[in-house]
Amino acid sequence: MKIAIIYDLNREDTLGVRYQKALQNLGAEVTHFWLKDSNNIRPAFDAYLRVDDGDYKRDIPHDKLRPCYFYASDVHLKKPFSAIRAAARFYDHVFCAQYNGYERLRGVFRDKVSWLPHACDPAPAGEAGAERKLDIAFVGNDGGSPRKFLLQEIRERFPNSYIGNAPHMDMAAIYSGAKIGFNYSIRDDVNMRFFEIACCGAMLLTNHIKDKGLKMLFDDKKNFVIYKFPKEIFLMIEYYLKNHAEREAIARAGREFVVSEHTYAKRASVILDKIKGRLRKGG
Amino acid sequence: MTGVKRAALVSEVGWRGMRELSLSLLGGDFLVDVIVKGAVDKKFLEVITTAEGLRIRAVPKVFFKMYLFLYLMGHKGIRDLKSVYVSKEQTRGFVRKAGFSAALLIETQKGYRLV
Repeated sequence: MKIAIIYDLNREDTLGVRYQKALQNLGAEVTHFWLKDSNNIRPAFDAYLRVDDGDYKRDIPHDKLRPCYFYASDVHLKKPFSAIRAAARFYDHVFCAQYNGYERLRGVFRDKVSWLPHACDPAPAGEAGAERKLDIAFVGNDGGSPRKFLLQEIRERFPNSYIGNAPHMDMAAIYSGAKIGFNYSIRDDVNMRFFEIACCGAMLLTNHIKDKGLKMLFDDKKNFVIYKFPKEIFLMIEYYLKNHAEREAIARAGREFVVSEHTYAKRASVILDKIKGRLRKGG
Repeated sequence: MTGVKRAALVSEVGWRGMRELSLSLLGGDFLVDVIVKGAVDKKFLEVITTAEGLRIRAVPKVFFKMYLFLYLMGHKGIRDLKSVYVSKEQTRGFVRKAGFSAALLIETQKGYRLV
């Protein structure tokens, strides 16, 4: 099967790269195009998959490139959601990374929309047996208020931690070397960090978020831990740093869960099935 | 003149740099006022470790300039404000117009540098 995948390769770890690799690993012949070049794509592919890269000012020529699919990740953000909703009608199918966004789009486009959450790539993160010397790890920027306050407080109270940016190639090694992976979703989304931390075998500690997808994906205190109030963060960190067996059991369950159920390979197979189903119908 | 040494840290972008600077100034016997631009929920401010001589105030954006102006004027009268640090060049100009010199704090990967 020949698939044209369209996204701007602004970062080595962008979502498009992960889907491109996963589709290739499943045997698809995948060719990458930048969004700006999408007008020059020849209609010689079985399917055209646009992967969300944050550019909503431009889009692919839907009339020329059929059937076309859209993996939309930023449906939890107000402005991107409006742009994605406006673009959705031109696609044969839209995959949404966040459940709440999926529900809102499904209200308009019915079966043309499905929920396909973020996932992990076990290949670079397969260091679950590594010695965990760090107490806490958070890979990413400090962000705005209030995340920046929480991260700085963790730095100060738990100095044996890694809190900050890192090259994407190092991310798995950092989480694999940490006892606890910290997350604070800024916009109530089940972000990629959920899966990245769990995949690396660190215990995922995250804020309570409103996206319904969280409860459908994870079990509190079984394969991850939720803090509801900022003050709880530090109590929970102290508790789980002391209680090794409990922490490691949660971390192990988290890793087993995401590695078995939530990989990019699994997600890509859903996309491939959708494409194949349409081809069989003659679309 | 009160004899008290006071520093004002005006935090508009980032936090780590201003926070680390505030702690180092406390060690140098300064009273430190950290003025954060933008309202911050109390539950988040409460988790920030405080120390004697350190005051953190989050000011809603709409009142920020007015607050800063009144703060500077107030301390100009008392003459206790020895240092002002800002995180935006534009605010440095504002502080200078109020009659104070200010250092610009730029956050780096592992802390901050002052310009």
